[in-house]
Amino acid sequence: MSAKTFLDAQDRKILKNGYTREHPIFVVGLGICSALAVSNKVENAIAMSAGVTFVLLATALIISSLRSLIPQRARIITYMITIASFVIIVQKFLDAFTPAISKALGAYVALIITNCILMGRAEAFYVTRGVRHSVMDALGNGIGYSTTLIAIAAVREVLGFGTLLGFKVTPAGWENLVVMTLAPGAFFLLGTAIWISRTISERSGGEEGE
Amino acid sequence: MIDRLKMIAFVLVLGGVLTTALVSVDAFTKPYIAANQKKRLQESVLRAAGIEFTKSEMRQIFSERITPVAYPDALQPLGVTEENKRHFYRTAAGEIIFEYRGSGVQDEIYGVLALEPDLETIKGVTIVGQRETPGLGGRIEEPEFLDRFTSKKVFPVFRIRPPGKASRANEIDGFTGATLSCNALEDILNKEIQRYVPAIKESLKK
Repeated sequence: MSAKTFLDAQDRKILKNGYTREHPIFVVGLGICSALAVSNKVENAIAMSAGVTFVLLATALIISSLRSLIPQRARIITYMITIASFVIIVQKFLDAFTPAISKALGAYVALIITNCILMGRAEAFYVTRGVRHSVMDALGNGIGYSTTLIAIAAVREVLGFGTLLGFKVTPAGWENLVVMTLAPGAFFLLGTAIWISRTISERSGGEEGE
Repeated sequence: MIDRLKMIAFVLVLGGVLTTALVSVDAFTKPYIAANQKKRLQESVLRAAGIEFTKSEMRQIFSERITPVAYPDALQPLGVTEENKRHFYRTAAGEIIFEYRGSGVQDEIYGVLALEPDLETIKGVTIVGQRETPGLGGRIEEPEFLDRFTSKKVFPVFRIRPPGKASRANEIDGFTGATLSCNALEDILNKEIQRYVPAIKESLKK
C-alpha cells in the first residue's frame, strides 16, 4: 500500500507542484510577509504552519465544492468570509486548549487572514478546480510553506536567541545576533534562500519556465 | 437582476452559515478560555508574591496563601453582583497584590503587581498579557527584566530609565529596542498605583 494506490498521477503532480515549481514563497512569492514575521522561533513557526495549512485545506474544501454556486462578482468576499471564519475557529481552539502556544503567537494567528497564499490559491486554483485536486494543492502549498518557515526559523532562532525549540544549543560565551530576531535578519535569510533555490532550479533544466 | 439577487442570496446564506459556526465555536470554547485566564491570573499572583508552586498544586497553594479582598464600591463596575466583584489579593504577611492594565505600544499590557506591606516597595511584577513587537518591546516580559523591579520604590513616582541611567531607589534600567514599551509600562504602573493604592488602603482600614 503506497500513496500511489490512492493518488493518481495528476494528484501527485499537483501535490508536488505545491512545494516545487509552484512553491508559494520561493516561486510564486506569496506568504512572504508572515514568513518574515513569524520565523523568529521554531515553536512559533510550527504553530503558524499548522494554522495556515489547516485554514488552507478548509478553504480549498469549501471554495472548490461551492465553485459552481459562487457568483463571479462575489468571489473575493466569499474567500474572505470563509478564510476569516476558519482563522477565528483556529484562534478560539488555540486559546481554549493550548493557551501557551496561543500566547506565544500573539497577534499572528489573526494575521493568517491576511496571508496571501490563501487568497492567491483560492483565486488561482480552488474556484476553478475539483475538490480532490484543490485539496492536493492545499496540502502541497502547506508543505512548501511549512518547511520553508520552519527551516528559516531554525536558523534565526539558533543565531538570534542561541536556542532551538527553547533549548540552549550554543556554547557559553555565544553572542546572540540581535539582527536575526528582527525583520532585516529575516529579509537577508529569505532573500538568500530564494536566490539559492532559483539558481538550483535554473541549473536543473529550467523547463518550469519561472 | 436575477443574477444580482442570486449573488446577494448566496452571500447572505454563506454568511449566515459561517456566523452560526462561529457562534457555536465561541460558546463551546468560552468556559475553557475563561478557566485558562483564571489559572494564568492565579499563577501570576503567586509568582509576583514570590511564592513557589508547582503546576499541579497551584490551585491549592493559591487558596491557602492568598486572600482576595473586594475593592471599595467606587471601583466596582455599576450593578455588579457579589461574585463578580473586582478583588485585590493579600498574603498572610500583609503583601498586597493587584492587577494592572493599560495600553502598550501595540495592544493592551496587563499583569499583576505585588507590593510589600508598606505599599511603597515593589515585591514583584508579572506580565500576563502583552502583544508588543516580538524581539523588541515584547522582551518586557522576560524574567531578567522583570526581576529588576523587585525592592524598588513606587512613590512619589516609578521610573524606567534608559539603560545604565537608573540610580535612585525608584528607578530601574530599561533596555535598548524597547524604549516605547518601557515608557508605556512605566505609565501604566504609575497610573494604576495612583488609582488602586488609596482604595486598597481604605479597604484595609475597615
